Amino acid sequence: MSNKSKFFFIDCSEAAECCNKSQYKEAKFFDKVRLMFHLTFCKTCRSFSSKNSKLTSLIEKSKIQTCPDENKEQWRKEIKKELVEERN
Amino acid sequence: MPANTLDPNKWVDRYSDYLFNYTIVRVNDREVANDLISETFLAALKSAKYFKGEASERTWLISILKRKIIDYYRKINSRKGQAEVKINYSDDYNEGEWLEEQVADQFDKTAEDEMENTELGLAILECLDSINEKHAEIFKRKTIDGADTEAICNEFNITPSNLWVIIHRARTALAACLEKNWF
Repeated sequence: MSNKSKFFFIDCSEAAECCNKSQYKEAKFFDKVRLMFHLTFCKTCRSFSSKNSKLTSLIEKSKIQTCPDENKEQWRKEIKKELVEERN
Repeated sequence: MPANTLDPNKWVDRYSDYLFNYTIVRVNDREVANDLISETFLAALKSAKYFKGEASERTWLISILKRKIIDYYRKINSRKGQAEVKINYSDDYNEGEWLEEQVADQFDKTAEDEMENTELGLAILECLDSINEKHAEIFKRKTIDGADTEAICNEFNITPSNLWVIIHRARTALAACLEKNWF
C-alpha cells in the first residue's frame, strides 16, 4: 500500500481501537474520519461499531456505580480479621 | 456436579460492586448500603459452615443481604411507630379535589423503567464475571468511574495500548454476554 492510501485506509484492528476510543470520547478527529471511511466498506466493523455504541448506551442507562475504594478496603480488613479470629 | 465453594478473601473484589448496586436502589442511602454490605459479609463468614455449595457464592451472599435489607426496614418501621393515615376526602370546602389526588403519581410511570435499569446494571456486573478479574477491574475504572487513561495506566502499571486491548476484549465479551437479553 502506498503511503498516500495508508493515510486513509486503516485495518480492522485500528478501526476497532478508534471505535473503542470514541466510546470514551478519546478518539482524535482525523482517526474518526478514517473510521467512518473504513465503515463504509467493512460490514464486520459496522456491526461491531453499532454493538459497541449500543453497549455504551446500555451502560449509561443502567446507572451502575462502583463502591468507594475506602469501603472495599475496610471490608477486606474486616473479613481478614474475622478469618484470623476464626482460625484461633 | 461440582459443588460451589466459598473464597471469602475474594468476596470484596468479586461481589462488592454487585452487592452495592443491588442495595443502593433498595435503601437509597450510600451509608446505609455500606453498613448492610458490611453486615452481610460478616454474617456470611459466620454461617459459612452451613454453605452447602448448591447455590453460587453470589446467590448465597445476595440471599443473606436480602434478609439484612428486610431487617433494616423492620427496624426503622418499629422506630417510627404506627404509620400515619391521613384522610381528607370528606372536606366539604374542597369537595372534588380528591379526584386530583387520585391521579397516579408521575413517578409510577418510570418506576418500571427504573427497575429494568437496575436489573440491567446487575446483568452487566454479572457478565463481567466471565472475564479476567483484573481486566474487569480496569474496565470498571474506565467505564463506570470514568477515570483518565493515564491515571489507570499508572495505577495498574500498563501502557495505553495495553489498556485499549483490555477494554476491547472486555467490551466484546460484555456485548456477547448481554446480547441475548438486552440488545
